[in-house]
Amino acid sequence: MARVNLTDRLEQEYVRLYETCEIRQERFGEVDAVAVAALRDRARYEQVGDPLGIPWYLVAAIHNLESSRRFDRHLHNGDRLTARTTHWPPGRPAGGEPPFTWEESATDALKLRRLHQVDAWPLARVLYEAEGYNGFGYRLHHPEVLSPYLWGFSKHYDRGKYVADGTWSATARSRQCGAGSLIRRLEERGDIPALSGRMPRKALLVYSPRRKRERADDLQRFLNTFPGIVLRVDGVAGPKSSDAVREVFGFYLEGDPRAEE
Amino acid sequence: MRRSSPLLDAAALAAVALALVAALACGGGPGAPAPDSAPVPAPAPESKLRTFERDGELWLERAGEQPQRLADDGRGYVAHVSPDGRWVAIDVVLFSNLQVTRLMRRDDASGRFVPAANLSTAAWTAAKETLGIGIDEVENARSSFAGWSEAGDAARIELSGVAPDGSEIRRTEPVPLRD
Repeated sequence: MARVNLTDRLEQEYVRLYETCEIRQERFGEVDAVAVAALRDRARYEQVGDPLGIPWYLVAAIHNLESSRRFDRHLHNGDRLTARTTHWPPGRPAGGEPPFTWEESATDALKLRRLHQVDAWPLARVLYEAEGYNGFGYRLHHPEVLSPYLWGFSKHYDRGKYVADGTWSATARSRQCGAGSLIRRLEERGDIPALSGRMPRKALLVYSPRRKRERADDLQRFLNTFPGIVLRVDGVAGPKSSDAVREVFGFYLEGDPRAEE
Repeated sequence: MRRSSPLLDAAALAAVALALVAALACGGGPGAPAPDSAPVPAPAPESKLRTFERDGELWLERAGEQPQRLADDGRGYVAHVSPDGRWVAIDVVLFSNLQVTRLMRRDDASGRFVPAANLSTAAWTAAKETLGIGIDEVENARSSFAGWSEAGDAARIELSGVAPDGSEIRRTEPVPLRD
């Protein structure tokens, strides 16, 4: 069976997909609800993840996908914690006696997948391990469909999935929030540190009264859609454009000296 | 493997089984990193048959004969040999949240086991009658072999999953064994 290695090219793909990940508007409420629930249970995820060096938000994403955030189920496969697992992997945890705590079994599941042996967790690694936890079948056999395990509820995924009997349906649609979608939303909310090194640290479009700036014309066209705003579309983000930005958003363009006053 | 509608009726079952044969032949199922070689916890009541897992593949061995590969597209397997040694039901883990059960039948002429049916298709199709939930609507769908009927003419398949309304599905469906 083919293995998928985390190459430079694959790392770039993960970063690109994450940076362009946009939650589907119609799913936004569900994604946000999952994010809020994950935050509520953050301490439990950290209790499992921290000793193993695994980010809490990855544990939360897997928990949501594998067992609908239920703490009375094995993270392994959603079986009840009152007994060892019966579905694959069967007989887990091998040690101890049931009933197991969620933390005991989750630790066993993450160690069984050797996630505790990962040295560092940059963005690409997080997404690679999340996809690998589920399996690389989409990437290997249906590369035209990005894995819903990662990108469900985002615009990176629309339809196409392996259905309950293991056959492929090009029309079926996953109804789960993907791990990448959830993590992206957590970052958007400011609940986790910026994961992508290429995330902007400062404004991409700044005050520039003397020369054209890339995308300034797009901004001017956008601002012109608001009633009462009339700008020349020249790509120069000068005082009039900054005034219009302030009228719409309540602040001047970064770099406008009036912003300092 | 593609199809226009994931909902299968009984008449389509045979087509699915044939497609499975093709998928097995070309190694065309979903794949995943293979776990280390490990024995499969099969009860193997028929003492001449033994199943084992190696490099992500499931093999069947009979005393004095060449081993036969039964499956290669899973990330984990649990095999169950029928008391009369004619059938092998295989739980195949395709994804962490998708497990299916396939049936293989011993071909009397060659003695080899050949794909006979996708027991998950039959079980989920039967469950649709009472649950009203299509096979493409279940999330975290897992089926597993729960035993042979006393008469040896059916397999009991345990189903679990999450319904579209978020409720939990857990039921067992008998699936007749047919040559």
